Amino acid sequence: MTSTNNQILQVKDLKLNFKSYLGLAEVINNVSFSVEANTWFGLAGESGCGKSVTAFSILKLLPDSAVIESGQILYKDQDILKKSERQMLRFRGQEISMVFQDPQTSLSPAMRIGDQLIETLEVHRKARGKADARDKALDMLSRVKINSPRLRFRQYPHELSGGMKQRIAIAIALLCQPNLLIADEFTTNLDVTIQDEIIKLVVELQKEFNMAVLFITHDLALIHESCSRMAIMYAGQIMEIGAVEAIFKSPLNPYTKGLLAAVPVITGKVEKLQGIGGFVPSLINPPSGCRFNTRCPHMIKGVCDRKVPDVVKIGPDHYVYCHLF
Amino acid sequence: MGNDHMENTLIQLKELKKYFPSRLGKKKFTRAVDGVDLSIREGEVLGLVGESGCGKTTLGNLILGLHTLTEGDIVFEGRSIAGMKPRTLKEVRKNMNVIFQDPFSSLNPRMTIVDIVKEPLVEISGRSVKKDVLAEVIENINSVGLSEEHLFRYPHEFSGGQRQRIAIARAIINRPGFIVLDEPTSGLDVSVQAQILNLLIRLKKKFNITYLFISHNMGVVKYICDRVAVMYLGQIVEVARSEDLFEGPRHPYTKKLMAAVPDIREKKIKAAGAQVSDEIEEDQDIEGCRFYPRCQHRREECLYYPPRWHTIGAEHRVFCDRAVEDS
Amino acid sequence: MKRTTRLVVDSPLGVIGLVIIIILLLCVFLSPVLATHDPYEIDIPNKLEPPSRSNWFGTDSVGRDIYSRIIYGSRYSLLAGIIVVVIGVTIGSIVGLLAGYPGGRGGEWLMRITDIFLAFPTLILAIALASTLGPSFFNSMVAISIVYWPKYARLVYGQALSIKERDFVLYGKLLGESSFKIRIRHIYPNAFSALMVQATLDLGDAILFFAALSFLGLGAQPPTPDWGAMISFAQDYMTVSWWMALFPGLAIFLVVLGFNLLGDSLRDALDPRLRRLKEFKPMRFTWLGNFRKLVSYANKENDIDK
Repeated sequence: MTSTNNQILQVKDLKLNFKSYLGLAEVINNVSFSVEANTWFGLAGESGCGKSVTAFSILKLLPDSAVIESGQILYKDQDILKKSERQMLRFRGQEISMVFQDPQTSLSPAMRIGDQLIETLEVHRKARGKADARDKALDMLSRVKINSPRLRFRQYPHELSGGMKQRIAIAIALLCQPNLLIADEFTTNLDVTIQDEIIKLVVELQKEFNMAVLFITHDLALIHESCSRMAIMYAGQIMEIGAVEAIFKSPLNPYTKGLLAAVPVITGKVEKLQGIGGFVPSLINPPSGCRFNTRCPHMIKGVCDRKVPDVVKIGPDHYVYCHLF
Repeated sequence: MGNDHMENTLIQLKELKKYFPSRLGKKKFTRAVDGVDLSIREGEVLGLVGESGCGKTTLGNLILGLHTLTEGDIVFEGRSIAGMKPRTLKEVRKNMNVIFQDPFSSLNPRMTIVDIVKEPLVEISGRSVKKDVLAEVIENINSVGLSEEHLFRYPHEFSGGQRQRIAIARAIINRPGFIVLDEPTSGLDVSVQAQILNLLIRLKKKFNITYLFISHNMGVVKYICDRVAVMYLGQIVEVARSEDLFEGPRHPYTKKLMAAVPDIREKKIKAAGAQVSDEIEEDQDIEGCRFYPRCQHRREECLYYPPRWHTIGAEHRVFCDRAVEDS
Repeated sequence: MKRTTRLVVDSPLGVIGLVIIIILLLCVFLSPVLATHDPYEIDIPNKLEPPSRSNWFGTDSVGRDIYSRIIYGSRYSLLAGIIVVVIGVTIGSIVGLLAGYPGGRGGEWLMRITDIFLAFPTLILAIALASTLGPSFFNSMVAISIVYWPKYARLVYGQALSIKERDFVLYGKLLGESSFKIRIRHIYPNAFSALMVQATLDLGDAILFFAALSFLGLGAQPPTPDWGAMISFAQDYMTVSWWMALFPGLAIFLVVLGFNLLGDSLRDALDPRLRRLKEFKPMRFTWLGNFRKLVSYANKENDIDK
């Protein structure tokens, strides 16, 4: 999308369906975006828009019922979709890593923290023997700013709070120094003060480790705080994509505008929140054309419900998928 | 003295305490609510904010009579609820209702919408004459934006936002004077949340209901609440009018909360050092201020002497000694 | 309900189970039509005849037509199975509900008592009870029911424990509903589907159980054409007249299999997690396509793309 060459991840025209007993669900429809190295890219959208599925497809962690119809996912010019499962095993955790939403289920309850860290190192052969692995693990624990790392090393996950577990999950993800970290709603289940600390931590770590972060979340404010570029998804389609500043300053797509008008803020005057009327359509027989047309206040009959909009460049780093442009 | 009783007080909480036997078995207790003085005024929306484990849900449940309180009193419309017998409590409860957080678990999947919405009428008012009950159900369903054709369907046929509307219809059908809303929009998408919030405001005005709005979302609280009480580890630490609280929080915890909330309008300056998270053990007996381990303004005295209430400005009070010194 | 039917119908094993059960039901209700002879009619000259044109399954030691006895026998088997399960479910549900809500110490004690019953080996206990009560069709059913109910009590208790944590139960409590009302209106209806699955699976098991008791002489008494009893009589003749034991045995086998297959596929159909990601199979029955539209609206919150 942008003209720089150091794009660590490029998703091109991805189309993905899920087989279900009721039919084929067209979950991702022509999604394209790219993430530059060493930057934060935010993938925003409400529940059911396909953002998590996109993340899973980058790491090929999809269930059997998922079928990739077309498209490419390029990581440093290698097409991930063409890789075999064997190649992916080496890939995951090493080149691209992921942190998930629920800290309670991210860690194995039957293993000590230290063992889980060491396990990762051993699987990817990043340590020379047990002692070295232990040192590296302890080092990582202190880098994610866990207090009393030596104590935590020997503890089991249930002895830690949600915030701490998430720090461990981040530690495990970063052990092999990946080039891309995918964070899938990883602060959604945390208290807001803990969320703040975790985000600050990952901002620091991102710089330290020189990696890119693909941040998936429904919280637009979080994206505003952390990301430099972002894309907004709705019902499997990209609505708007570009620099965060540009999009927040002048949102173009009616969906983006609707979303922003619905977020309550704590600074400044209280303005009336606007919801978006209508419902998210079923993806089994999705609306044709722009999938937002059923709820869009500016829908152009005959156009919006027929043809999927092409991308239109509006600013230096601001693109929109909408027939109004 | 920490309460703010005024003429039009609907509910008064006095030194309210609720201790649960600790999971650790021994003589320890989990002090879910530890000495709360609060008043809820007629017609207002009082926000109760705090993070997980602060006791706000327990407090809501106590007011509704779902737990027996360990100490203290709740005075509802002039009557003390504390030692009430179930029968009289039922009388009092006729004027209350609740909306829960999870729209998926607050509706019985085996009941039709009609049966769900009319449940309060049947139970509280003991009414069963089909015709007028049905008419009332229809009226309330319409008030929340749903229609008659939805009546004989089951909850699983509806989206989260719609289910929450059903829960709202159920909550207003007996025209209660007081409703506890426990994180009513936390499980909803932001666009749906906006609609539900506006609906709640509309209904409150129409039927003159008092809300206790429990939430951890500061933005939502600012939007809908008139006054806000901040809770931390079982205690209220600050109470103020909504505008005053958001413009000038005084308690260190409140300040920390506000600072942690991301904003879509202004990028906050990200502090360089990410602090280490201090997690407090449940049965730690702290003599002084409970917020001491995480407080940026703390001093040695804070560890030994519990804070006291101070009133700053009209209807703004803080449970912290340092807060009044620093100005 | 419709979605469940669809899922059961889509799985081949479920269909087989369903077909077997349908055949069973046909035997039960259309016995006079399907049978070729009177199952009680003795015909000594024709005794121990192998399967032939006139007696499809052969004759037994007193010349009765085995095929017709099997057809009529289905009534006893099914009746026994149903009664046993119904009684077991009823008692078990009551105990389970009482123990499960509001729970607490009393409930735990009730379940301990239930566990005592579960500690006995089922067949032995049933035999003991049946012999004590005296061998008869009715008594053996009572005996099996007594052995069966703890299982359902356990099941309902477990369901009650998780259901009572849900908000709508809390809401009922808030409205001042009595424990009795909460059990009937909120807990039981939500435990029902799990109960039904178990009951269906157990129906086959109960039929087997009853056949075992009859085999031992404790259940249906002669000359009732009960399958278990038939095998019992066939013992002495097994080496020469294999058909006497084979066909009743086969009948029991098929019926139990049928209920197991049906029960399994019902369980899979009702499992919320498996429900979402089942393979898309080409539509076999196109008339089902009409409620695709009905259900697709509901289905959108099943987060297909999660």
